[in-house]
Amino acid sequence: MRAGLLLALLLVLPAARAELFPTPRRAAEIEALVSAETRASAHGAALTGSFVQKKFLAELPQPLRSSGDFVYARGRGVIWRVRQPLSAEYVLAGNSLIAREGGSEQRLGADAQPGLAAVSRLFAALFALDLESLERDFLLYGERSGSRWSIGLKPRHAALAGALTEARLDGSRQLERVVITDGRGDRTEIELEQLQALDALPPEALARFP
Amino acid sequence: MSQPARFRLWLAAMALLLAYFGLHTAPNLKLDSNLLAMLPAQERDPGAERASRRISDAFARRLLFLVGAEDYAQARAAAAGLAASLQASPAFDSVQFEPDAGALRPSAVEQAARFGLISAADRARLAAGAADELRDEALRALYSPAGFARLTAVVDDPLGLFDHQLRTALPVPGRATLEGGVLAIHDGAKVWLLVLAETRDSPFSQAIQQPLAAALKAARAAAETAGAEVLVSGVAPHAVAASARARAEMVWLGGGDLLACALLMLAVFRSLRPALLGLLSVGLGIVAALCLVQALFGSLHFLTLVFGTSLIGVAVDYAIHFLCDQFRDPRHWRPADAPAHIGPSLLLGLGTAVLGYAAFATAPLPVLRQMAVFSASGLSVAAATVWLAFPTLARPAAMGGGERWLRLAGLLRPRRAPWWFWLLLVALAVPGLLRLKPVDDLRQLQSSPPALIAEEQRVRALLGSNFDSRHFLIEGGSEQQLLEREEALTARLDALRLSDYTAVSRALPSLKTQDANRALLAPLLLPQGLIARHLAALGYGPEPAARLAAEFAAAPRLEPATALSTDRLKALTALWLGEDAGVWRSAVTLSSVKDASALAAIAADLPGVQWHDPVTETTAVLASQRQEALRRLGLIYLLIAVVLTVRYGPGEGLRALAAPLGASLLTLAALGWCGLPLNLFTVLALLLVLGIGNDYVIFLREGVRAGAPPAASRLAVGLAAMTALLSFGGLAFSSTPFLQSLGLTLALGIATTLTLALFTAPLDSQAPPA
Repeated sequence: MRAGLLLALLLVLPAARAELFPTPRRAAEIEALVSAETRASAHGAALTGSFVQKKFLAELPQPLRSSGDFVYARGRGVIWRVRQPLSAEYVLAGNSLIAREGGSEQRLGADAQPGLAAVSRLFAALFALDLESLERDFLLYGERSGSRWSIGLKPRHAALAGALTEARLDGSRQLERVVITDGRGDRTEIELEQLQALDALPPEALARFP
Repeated sequence: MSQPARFRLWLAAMALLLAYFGLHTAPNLKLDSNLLAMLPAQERDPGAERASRRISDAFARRLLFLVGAEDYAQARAAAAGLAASLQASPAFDSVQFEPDAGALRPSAVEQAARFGLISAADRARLAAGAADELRDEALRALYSPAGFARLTAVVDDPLGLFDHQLRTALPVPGRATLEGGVLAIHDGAKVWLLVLAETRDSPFSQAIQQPLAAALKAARAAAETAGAEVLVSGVAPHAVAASARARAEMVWLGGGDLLACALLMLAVFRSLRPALLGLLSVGLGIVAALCLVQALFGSLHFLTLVFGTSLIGVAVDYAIHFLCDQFRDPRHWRPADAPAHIGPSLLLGLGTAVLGYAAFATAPLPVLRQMAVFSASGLSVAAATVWLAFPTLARPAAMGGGERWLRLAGLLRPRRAPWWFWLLLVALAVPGLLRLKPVDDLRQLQSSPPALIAEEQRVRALLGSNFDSRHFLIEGGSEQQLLEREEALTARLDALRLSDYTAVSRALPSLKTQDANRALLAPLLLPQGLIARHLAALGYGPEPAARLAAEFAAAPRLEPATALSTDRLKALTALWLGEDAGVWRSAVTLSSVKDASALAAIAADLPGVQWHDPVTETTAVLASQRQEALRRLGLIYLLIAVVLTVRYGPGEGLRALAAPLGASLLTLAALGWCGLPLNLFTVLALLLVLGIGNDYVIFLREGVRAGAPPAASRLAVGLAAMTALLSFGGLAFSSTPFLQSLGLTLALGIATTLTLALFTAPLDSQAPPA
């Protein structure tokens, strides 16, 4: 009973938070909110940085923390390297996800995980700030106060709402934080640091893609 | 009975016939164009037959559209327009553009029964004692950037087993992925969006053809005006194209033949009346045949109509024979005199033809029986019209024209060929016959426009998958036995990877399997078990693990009745065929089949599992029917040989038979030389050749016996051959392969029959003096 109540509360919460974004806006309007630097680095060939991720799960008193670094390569995908609490590498490219840990490699295709392509597109679009592509799957919201800007994303279609109900990007000079709330009320917060735009993808990163 | 009395009798009978046709037959006439529908019920039991038909029907009703444009928004608008256009058509039952969200999430019933629902891959790993690996993967998945996109909560499904099951139990349409709430495929610069649709009825059903053709055209236009390209895959466009083409050809070729025949009659008799009389006898014959076939069979197969209307060429012979009788004595002929003269040949011609078709009346192939009934009844009514009504309705022709034609008919004087001519024929025929190859492949008999085939191939390439009409049919004495047998099959399919498949038991395992799955989970859910430790390591308190164990203990199992009514699984009801006379049945459908013979072999050693390959089965049926038809053709020759021998004596009787028989063999040899195949339709054409050739040899002999000048019956035979060539020759130009087969064989056969009939008919010197 208590669990049910908690679950109900969690389901209501995202709707309440959505009030932060009163009306959806067009991709072009949103792009204008974002800092020039963010736009510049989003248009480079690659973007690297480190992250700290906190995952807030239902009934879990403390969030699951993880940290590491990432490489976003335009047109290829994202390499997500977790250093803590375990050492693993995830390559999100097109319709597939490769998880490497130690010597083992596990590859998930879109046939095993139909939502994967959407997730992969979401990540690529977040880093590349490809708002037009995001606009296909999401209603876009945005606001700016001073040097800080926020973009909100809400799935347009029920099919994607199973995977996430809301996402929010915050930044000032650069993108700093991504918060994703999923269909069950679990929340993933990702803090991004030391973002660096690169003119070319380093060869060692290139080799990690399939 | 006097002629006026006969005419009144005929008038009354025809009035009744036309009234019955107008009031009963015409409004209910059902035309069936599915080549598969003409298959006989096979040896298997009727329940399996019904089940197999249902699956084949469902397959035929399915359509897949790809709407492509460089710009996503443009593609989307175009695809939405296409979907709306289909939705508005009465020809379509369901149209799916934006998949229902309910189809993705687990229902409450599945959620409660989740402990028993484990994918085959995970089950194998649990059984192999690799639970630790699954735990490690579950942990890694939590830190994955895609980790949020799971369908179950960690506390409900710590190892992600239910999540895996939900993702793999239902099929994915090839390479398509959800994008903007619709299924999309990226190819180069283009994005293609999927629209799935189901026609309301079988696309072969004649009732749906018109709205279906219109709907397909409108849907395509809707998307194309929005600037997108449209590709279609499915049976419907092929069925619509084949039907439209065959109908157009029937009108063109059939109409052209009729016109040519009428013009020919007009030229010979110099009056419209004979042409109209010819049309009258043939027309009434066809009306009567339609009435009888519809009354006996409930529907009319398209092939019967084609074959039946080709029969015009035979039926008109009676009218021609009657009208040519006037050339016997042009100055004093009265129509009322004709029956006495042509009566015997009319009766003999009709009698042998009906006898011939009667041999097909017991054929196992329904369409052959239909053709037999159609032909026998049509010919009888046409002959009766000539016999009863022509003496009243016909008028002597204007003189002049007839005589010129009579002189021309002199060319058709019987003659004898030198011995080496016959030797040459045999020398040519034997190698040709040896070269003749039977081809019964349905695909070669039902060709599709190349543009449609190319589109189909592009869809397959883009989708990276293709639906297959081949399937497994599984039966069991109970729902659970059925599911267990299906699982035995899917286990083999998983191991051999010969094909992708969709099976109910993947989403709805048997109770036995659910219990086995639960037994594998039970030790992991113990108080200090792997799951409790995993949850504790993540930082959860003791409650979630305890709750899971309690839920596990009280969890219900997933039963077919409740499962198949949920939003997520209701799509599987198409495969779940239910109970029929105590037997439960389901189908496992396939896509991207790699090795069909290996799949067929699997079914052979699993109880209650049947392999079905509709195309191959149809081809086999066509082959066995071709053989059956050939056997019956042989039987008809024997019957007619007896009749002719009784009438003309052994020597002359056999000589008479030599014309159609020799012509049939020569025609087959010619097909062999040209590399054309022997199929069921060739044999049917040979049956017509016999019917026609038989008329010729009888007309040529009976006229002489009745003491008529031979030229009159020759003119009749010459005219009959011309009309037959005109009405059948046209079919040889058909682009529908089976019509072409029919037409070519007939044209060759009739020309050869006429030639041989003249070479074997009694010479003028042998004729008794007039």
